[in-house]
Amino acid sequence: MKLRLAMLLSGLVALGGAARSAAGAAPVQTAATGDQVVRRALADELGRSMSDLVIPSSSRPYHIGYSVVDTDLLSVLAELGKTEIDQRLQMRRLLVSVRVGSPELDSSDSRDGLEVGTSVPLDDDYFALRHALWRSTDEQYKEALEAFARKKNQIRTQMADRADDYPDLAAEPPHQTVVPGPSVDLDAIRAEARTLADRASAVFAGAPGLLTGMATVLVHRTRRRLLTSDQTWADEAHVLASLSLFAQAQADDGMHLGFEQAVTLSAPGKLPSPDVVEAAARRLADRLLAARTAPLAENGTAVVLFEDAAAAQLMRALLVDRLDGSPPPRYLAGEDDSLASKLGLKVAAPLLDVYDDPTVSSGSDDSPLWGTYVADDEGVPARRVSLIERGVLKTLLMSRAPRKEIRASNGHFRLGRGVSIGNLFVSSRTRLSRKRLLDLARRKARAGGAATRVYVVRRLGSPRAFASPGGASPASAMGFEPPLRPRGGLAGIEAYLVSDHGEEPVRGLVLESLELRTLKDVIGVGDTPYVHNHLEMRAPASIVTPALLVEGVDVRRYTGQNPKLPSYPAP
Amino acid sequence: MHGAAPPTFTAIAPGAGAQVAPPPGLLALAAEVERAKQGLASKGDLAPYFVGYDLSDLETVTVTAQDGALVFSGDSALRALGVDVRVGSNELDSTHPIDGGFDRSRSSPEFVPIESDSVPVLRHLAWMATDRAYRQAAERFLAVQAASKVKVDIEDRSGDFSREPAVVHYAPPAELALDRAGWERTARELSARFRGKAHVLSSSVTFEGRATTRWIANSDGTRIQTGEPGYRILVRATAKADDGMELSRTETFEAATLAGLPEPGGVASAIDQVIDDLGALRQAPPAEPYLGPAILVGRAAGVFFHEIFGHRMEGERQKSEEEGQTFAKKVGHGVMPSFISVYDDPTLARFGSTDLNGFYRFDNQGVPAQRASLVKSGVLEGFLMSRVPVRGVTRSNGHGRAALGAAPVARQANLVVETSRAVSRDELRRELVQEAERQGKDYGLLFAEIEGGFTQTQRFSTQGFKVLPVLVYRVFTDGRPDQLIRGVDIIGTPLTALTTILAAGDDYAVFNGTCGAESGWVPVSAVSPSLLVRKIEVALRDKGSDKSPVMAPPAVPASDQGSAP
Repeated sequence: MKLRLAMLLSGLVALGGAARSAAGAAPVQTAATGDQVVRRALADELGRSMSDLVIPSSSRPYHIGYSVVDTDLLSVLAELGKTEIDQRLQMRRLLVSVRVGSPELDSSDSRDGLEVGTSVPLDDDYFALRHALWRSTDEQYKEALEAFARKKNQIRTQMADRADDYPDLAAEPPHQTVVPGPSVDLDAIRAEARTLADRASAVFAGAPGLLTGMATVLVHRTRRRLLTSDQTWADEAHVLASLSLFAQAQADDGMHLGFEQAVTLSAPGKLPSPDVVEAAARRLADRLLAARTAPLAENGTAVVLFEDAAAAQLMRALLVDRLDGSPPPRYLAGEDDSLASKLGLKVAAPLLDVYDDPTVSSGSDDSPLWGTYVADDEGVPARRVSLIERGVLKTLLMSRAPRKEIRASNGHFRLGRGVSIGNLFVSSRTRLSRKRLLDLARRKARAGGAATRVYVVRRLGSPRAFASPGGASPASAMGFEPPLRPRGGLAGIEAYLVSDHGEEPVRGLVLESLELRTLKDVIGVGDTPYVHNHLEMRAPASIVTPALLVEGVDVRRYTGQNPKLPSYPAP
Repeated sequence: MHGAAPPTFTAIAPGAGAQVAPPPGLLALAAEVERAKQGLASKGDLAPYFVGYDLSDLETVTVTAQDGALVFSGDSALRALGVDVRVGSNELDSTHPIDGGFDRSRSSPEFVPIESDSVPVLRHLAWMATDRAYRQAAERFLAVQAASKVKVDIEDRSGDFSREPAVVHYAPPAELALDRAGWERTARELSARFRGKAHVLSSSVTFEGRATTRWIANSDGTRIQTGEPGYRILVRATAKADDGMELSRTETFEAATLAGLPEPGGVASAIDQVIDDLGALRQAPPAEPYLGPAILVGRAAGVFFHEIFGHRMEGERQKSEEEGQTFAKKVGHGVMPSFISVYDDPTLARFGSTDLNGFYRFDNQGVPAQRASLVKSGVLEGFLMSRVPVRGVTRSNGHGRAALGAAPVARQANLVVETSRAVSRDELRRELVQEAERQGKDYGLLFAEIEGGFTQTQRFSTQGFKVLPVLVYRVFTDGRPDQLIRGVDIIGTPLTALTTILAAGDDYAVFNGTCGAESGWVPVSAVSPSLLVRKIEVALRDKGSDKSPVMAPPAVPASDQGSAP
């Protein structure tokens, strides 16, 4: 499990793109300043490639983009009060995009944006950078020529003409963006991070009944410089930080329980005090120990209040992937699995609004948002995009790859992910306090009959997590969180049964039949947004959502076999 | 021809050298071993008869530069705990092969705190890992018992785990003391030698330092701490021929101490040679398929023996019925010419002034390193043994090895090929030419450098080998100068290759590297004289099809060529 974490950490280094502007500071959009070596190397090799890079009788590049991503990362993992991982990494990756053909039909395909790039010198060494650029540009040019020939051949021989044609690359004026971002000396806070992780995880060592507990601290500064042949320059730096807690216990019947929690950082790179984190760890341990002896869930129908991380996880599982407006490959048969066919139609309850806004740098409680940026990774200025208004789908997230229904970028191309969210906000014109939400839930449950219960779910996971502690891992606490797949049901990892007497923890709750249409069953929205920072593959993102009350959810008790209890006592 | 002086090695006995007080963490693991045995004793026939821990504390520093600029500079520290719990008895236990193959399902290593004052946490995590490993072992032992009723057992019924005496040894821990900033400067300076070399597509110079401290504690009573430092300089470069063939050259320098690494001037010379080699390879004609005589020069012969012979000497391969068992029943039989002897000896620390990568004091199962005589005067004598017995060999010879936390199996360490009848390099060339003429060939081949290879030992595969030479010359029978060629792999099967060794040189050389197999990557060495082989088969290498870069590389001002900024 921890080996996987180490690998994932390496994955994060492989591609940055973190986004977080200085709290309260307006993004600076001026001409480039400083660090002229990198920009000069990019500009000189780009200019040479645009003028001289051509194989006789083949197409020249018509568009080239160079991205240089600097990553400086500090990560610490402590278990039961002692450090296991303490690493500081600095890397610089180069991603080169070469397009041949023309904007109407070019060599691009739907995999663009998923590359991890190549490692290039950390030193601002003009020649070494140009040499690396030269090599990568040559490779990408040849791949582009091959891809373009393949694409044209397939269109010519396999595909019917498109009735409503649109180009492969939308026109975009040049943009100049410079966001210096906050500086943070990771060496200076390294000891502090280690102490913090040690002290937080030590709380779990002192909690009898827990199998283990961990704390992770991640501070990650990225700087992405982008230069394109259409004279766009975007130089943007951000710091993201996370502090996460994870604890694990086993119930007397063998069921595993793994609770996790992110601790909000008030400013990028600034760590909270040990007292704050210890208190959070104690609360997590208390909740987990209470759940350890909790009764099992019952089969039936439920009104479920998804709150905290669970609300964000629900939106991510049901909606986020489907908001990608990338056009289907024009040279392959197959269905378009985006929500384009539902544009203008109802996809959620009328009380729901959903928008994405990478330009917002913090949540209402001043929590930093990971999905903040000024220009996307094609250099297009980020903007607020209203996706769902009163339950009706209005548009999709777009890069410069247009589709029939939407012809321009709205600034949502992300390195390491392709088209994706930045900061996704869920809101409602009708917001209810938690008490009113629970009152509403009880009323709905009473109307539903004796088998209808009310649950509060604070974290979702895979039902497998009940059998294997790997189901909830410290990797997810670090932001590396694969999206949950609703098929087969989602587990209410941290769940509570609501009665007239209060809320009691419950174990083994599985929520079934969750799908996009579940959003139409949302009957109430809370008044306190929760910030859930995570990585969409390698692109930092946030989902900001209040609690969501959903009716008519089929629920059942987890039916998998539980592991045995430890074969001999702990030391 | 003369009787060759055997190579000069420096051996270090496993128990030699200073010892220190037992570290508290190791004693804590030892206590957990006893607690696990006692705590699980009530499980009756499913109680473990053996519990063992193998903890590796690994500190590394890595610095990489290319074209005069730093690409990476980092350090890491981790501790990984491997757990071995066995249910049953030494004769039949939970690792016994089912369907002919060994159990490969050992749990992933448990990562434990890197801090020295973490004994209670170490014990807690060891307990969790032991409990997991025990359940797996108990489940598998039941499967072994069930399988014995419905399946034919393996032919080799020599038991599953050897009985070995307890060893107690506390060597000082390994420490990593190096000037990282100095390494960064040197890596930049050395890698700048590639600057402006138009035919070099990519290049890098890497400095690596690692300090591995190992703790072994098991229910036999073994308690061991060893410290194993290691340092490496790695030079890599690639080029591309006009026909699209990918060309690469690698030079490595390995040492047990910082002082054992070459001075920057020595590395610079190697880099210049790599640059020249790549230039020459670009101009060299592509090779053609060939079957005929060849010389494998020193290091190349070592790699050749490691791949085609050494892997087939690993004990578990004699027992698993998924394996080809090429030599399993050939003990006492001639398998190569009578002037060749082969052994593997992890206690050899140096050959001349060169540190050997495969040196260690105790293997990962706590067994003292020992010389394993494999072939004596052409006759097969034995195998590389972990604690898994094979037909006729009941004890380990200290070759149970594993990467961080993996389950140990028998592996090579320092493989040494010796000849009792050596000829000079010139004589070897003359014999090559004569043999080529005898076979009606215009030329024989001379393999000067080999960068690695692999061998397929399992029955479902071809059971052949492929060795990857990088510098190959045609040696013409009509006296023309040698001609460098490119783009071939050596292929074949081991019995054919080994029985056609015609002569050996007096020029022993060392190959230091790392070897990957079932138990992960472990450091190894191979020492061999040059060998003349009657029949070596080479096949064309997959060459790639991308053309050379369209544009010339960016121009570097003359004043900037070959120097760091």
